[in-house]
Amino acid sequence: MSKITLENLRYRYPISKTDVLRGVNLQIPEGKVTALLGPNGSGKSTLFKVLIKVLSPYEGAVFVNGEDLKNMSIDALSKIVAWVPQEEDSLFPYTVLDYVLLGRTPHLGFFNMPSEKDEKIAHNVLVQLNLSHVAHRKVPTLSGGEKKLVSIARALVQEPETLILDEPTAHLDIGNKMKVLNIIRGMANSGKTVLFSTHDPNEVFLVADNVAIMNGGEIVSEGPPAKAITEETLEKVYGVPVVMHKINEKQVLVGMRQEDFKSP
Amino acid sequence: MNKHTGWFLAFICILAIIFIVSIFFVGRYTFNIFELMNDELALNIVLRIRLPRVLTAMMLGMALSVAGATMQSAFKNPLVGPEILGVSQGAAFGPALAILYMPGDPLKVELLSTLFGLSALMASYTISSAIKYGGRILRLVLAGLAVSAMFSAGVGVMKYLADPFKQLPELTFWLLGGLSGVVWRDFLYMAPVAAAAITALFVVRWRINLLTLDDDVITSLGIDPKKLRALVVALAVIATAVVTSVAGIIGWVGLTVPHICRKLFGAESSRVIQASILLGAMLMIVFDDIARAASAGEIPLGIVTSFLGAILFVLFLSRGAPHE
Repeated sequence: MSKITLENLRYRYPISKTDVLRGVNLQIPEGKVTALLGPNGSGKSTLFKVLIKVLSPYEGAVFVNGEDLKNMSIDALSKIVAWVPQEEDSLFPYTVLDYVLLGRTPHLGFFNMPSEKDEKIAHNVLVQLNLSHVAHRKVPTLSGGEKKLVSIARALVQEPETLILDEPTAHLDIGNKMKVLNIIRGMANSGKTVLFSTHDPNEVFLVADNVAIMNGGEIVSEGPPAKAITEETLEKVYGVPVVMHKINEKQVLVGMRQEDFKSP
Repeated sequence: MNKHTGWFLAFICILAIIFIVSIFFVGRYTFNIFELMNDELALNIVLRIRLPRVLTAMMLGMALSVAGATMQSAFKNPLVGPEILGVSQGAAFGPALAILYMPGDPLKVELLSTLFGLSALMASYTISSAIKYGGRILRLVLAGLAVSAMFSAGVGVMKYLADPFKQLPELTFWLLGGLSGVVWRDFLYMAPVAAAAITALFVVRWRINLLTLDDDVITSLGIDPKKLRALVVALAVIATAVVTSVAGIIGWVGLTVPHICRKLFGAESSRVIQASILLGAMLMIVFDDIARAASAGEIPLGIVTSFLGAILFVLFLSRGAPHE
């Protein structure tokens, strides 16, 4: 289990004049699901790239298990944190098994190849995600949902303490969406720290313990979803009027009022 | 023993057979193999002419194929080969310079070849970041085309400046590519460097898979993509350049062999590289056999590999389902 703390993170892309991250402070508690909710372009993906050391902030710091990310090698980080990007595409038709085995990289020496033990770990993850029947299929021949699960499998084969998923449910149908959300919940239940981004508040209500709502590179609200997500916040962040329905005092559904469907 | 191990053992056996047949039975001079020890001319031909030539062909095939397989992964592009990123033309420019101004020193040829091969690659890299059109890979291929053309022009200048009776024919034959006249000295100058580069790539063959992923994913797996790419590409360029310094420009093998291997063994790079080394060696020995024995005169090897390599490329890529 790992704990991640973000302190006053500021990031700006080299050619840009404005900050994409404008002083982000956030605590990501261990063993819980934390959701990063926000519209497209609010800085969620950039924040994740800072967390995996693809981008370096020009101000502020990230602490993983108390250690400053600046002093951590990407090799050491990759043993603790795994990342699933929004989209992944390879022109090379790997089999599912060969592909997920690449997740063993952090645990293998430079000249080593995956051993039988590594293959066993990969097999177990494929069984866990219900993918063992496609183990020898080629990744480009899979459906969109299966491809996403394969990406997640590769990250799990990494055996990380923390899993970061960038919009894992984007472009998925409702069945695959639920599968992915289920996996996210299951990971936290088995003690892993999970951080995922989405622009759908309903997904946050379904699986997250905590939410941080991002807008324009800042966190505008955070806490347990029931408290942090309000009609006012969503209206401000997404720029449209929304309504929240409480069902059984527990689940919440976010939608629009019928009258608001009139032309803007 | 799994399916792939069986295939690899079969490949090694076929390679051994091709090797032996090429040394003893392919060529214009025929002799009785059982009388070899008593036939001094035959012994000389086998030991001084055919053996170094077949060994050089083997090394040439291995180096070009493994370099092609590596570059295709490193640039996430199944279409690149040593010739597309300007490496072959750069590596050819060095020896062209040497033929004109430093004749008769294989070590200088090799050094110049490697130097210009590497500088062509670096030029492709640098120019690609300045091009404001298309994605990263397209920019690299465009830059490679430009660099290739520049070095071709450089070779053109060398041809223009060459003495038309002595240097020009030598340069032209060298550029067509071939192994005629290869002796032990050529092989021994080239082999240690080529073998070292091939071995190094063989050792890191599984890691080369990583380079086909997005660079951000590679970083998240704890590997610096730029460093790993620079390392394996440099090894591939060195392998290409040293064999080019001996054999001239030999096209289509570096592109075709890895594709055939991917069709046979899947995309996973440790298998592709292993198979490319073996298949590259086999094919090049056979191509060189054709070059030296198919007609009354020697056909330049570069012509044989381009012609047959392109045919094999089309044949293999048009068979089976996509992604297979």
